[in-house]
Amino acid sequence: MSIHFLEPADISAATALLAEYGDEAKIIAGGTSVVLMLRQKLIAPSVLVSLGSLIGWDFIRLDSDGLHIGALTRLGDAERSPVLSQVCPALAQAFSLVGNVRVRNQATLGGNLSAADYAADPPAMLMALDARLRLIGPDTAREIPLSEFFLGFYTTVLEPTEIISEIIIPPLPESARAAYLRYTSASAVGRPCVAVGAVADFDTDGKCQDLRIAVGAAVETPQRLARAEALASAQTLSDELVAAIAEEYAQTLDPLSDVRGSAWYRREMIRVLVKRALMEVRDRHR
Amino acid sequence: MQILESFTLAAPREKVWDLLFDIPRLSQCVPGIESVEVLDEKTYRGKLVVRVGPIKTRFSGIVTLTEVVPPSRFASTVEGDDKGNASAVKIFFNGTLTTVEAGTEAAFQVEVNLRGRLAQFGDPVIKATAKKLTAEFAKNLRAQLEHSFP
Repeated sequence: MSIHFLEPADISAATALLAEYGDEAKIIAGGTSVVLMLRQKLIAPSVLVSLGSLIGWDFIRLDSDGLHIGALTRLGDAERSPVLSQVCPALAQAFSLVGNVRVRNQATLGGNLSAADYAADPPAMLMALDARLRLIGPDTAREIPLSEFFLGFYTTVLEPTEIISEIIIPPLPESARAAYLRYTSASAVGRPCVAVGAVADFDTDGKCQDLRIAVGAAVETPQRLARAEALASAQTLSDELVAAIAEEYAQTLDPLSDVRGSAWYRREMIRVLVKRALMEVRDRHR
Repeated sequence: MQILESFTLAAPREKVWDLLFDIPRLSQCVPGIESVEVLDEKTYRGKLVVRVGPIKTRFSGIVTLTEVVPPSRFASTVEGDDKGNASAVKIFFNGTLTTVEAGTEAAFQVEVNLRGRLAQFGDPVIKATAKKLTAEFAKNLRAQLEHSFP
C-alpha cells in the first residue's frame, strides 16, 4: 500500500489537510516516533502530512512573557541553545537526555509532546516549569497549560486536526532554581523509569516561596501534587521537610509496572528522586 | 496478565443477564464492535476495533462460551488476531452477576495473553485501555437498561 506524502507550506494548509483526510492522515515532523510505528505496521495511514516544509516554527525566543519554543525545534537544537540554557539549564538537561544524539537531532519538541509517550524526559520538567502550549486548528487557536494536555497513554487533548505550534515557559524569577533528575533502570541511555522536574523560588531569608515538582515516566501522565508542594510554603527546606514532601509523592502517586520497573520499585525511586531534586534546588548556587 | 473490573447496574440480575445474552442489544453496548455473527448457541464470530492513541487495531476472532449458569455466572474464551500488525490475543473471561442493594454488581476477571507487535506496549497500557473500555461498556449497558425500563 502506498502512502501519499504531503508537504504543506504553512501551518494552516497543514491543518486543512488534516481536516480533509481525517482518520486517514497522520502528522509527521521529525519522524522518530511515526516512522517506528509505520515500520512495525502499528499505524497504516494513507496520507502523511509532513511538517518538514513549514518555515518559522523552530525558534527559541525570550520575550517579556517568557521563553517561546517553536514546536518544530529539534530537541538537539534546544539542548544547545544558549538562550534556553541561560533561562533554564535544567530544561536543557532534560532535552539532552532524550534517546541519543541522532534521535535528538531529528526529533522535535512538538512531536515529543504529541506522541505522549509516558517514558519521556521533557514532560516532567516542562510541567514543573508551568509550560503552556499553543494549539492551532483549521479555524481555531487556543492556549492550554501542559498540565491539561495529557489524557493517558499516548493520548492528548489534541483534536485530530490540531497541531502544537509553540511551547511557552513563563519567566522564572532570578531567585528561582530548577532541577531535572531521572533514573534509568536498564542502561544509562535508556528511557527513564522515573523522571522528576523541580522548580523552587526562595525569599531573601531562604524560605521557599514557590515549589513545583512534577513526576513523570513512573505514572501514566506526569503528575504534580499541590498538597505536597504546599508543605514547603514559607518554610526552610530542612532535611525533614524534604523527606516529608518526598514521602507524600511516593505514597500518593500510583506508579505503573513495566519492563523498566515494578510499581513497588518505582514508588521507592520516586521517594529517592524527589528528595534529591529538592536537595538540588535547595543547595545549588548557594 | 490479569484484569479485574467491576461495576454496578441499577437493575435486577435477571434483566442484566437477559441483556448480556441478547446479542443484537449487547453488541450495541460493546465499545468498538464492528460486527457479530452467531455461529451456534455457544460460538460467535466478531470484529472489534480498539484504539490506543494513534494506534487503531482491528481484531477478528471467535468467542466461545465455556460455561453458562443463568443468571449468575458465565465463562468464555476469545481468540482473535489483527493480521495488519501481526498481533494475536487469547482471552479467558469469567463473569459473575451478584444481587446487591443498588441492583446488580457485574464483576469480571479476564486473563489476557497478547502476542505480537502490540504486546510491546506492555501491561500498563493494556490495563488502562481495559479500564477505559469497561467504563464505556458499563455506561452503554446502563443506557440500554434504562431504555428497557421507561
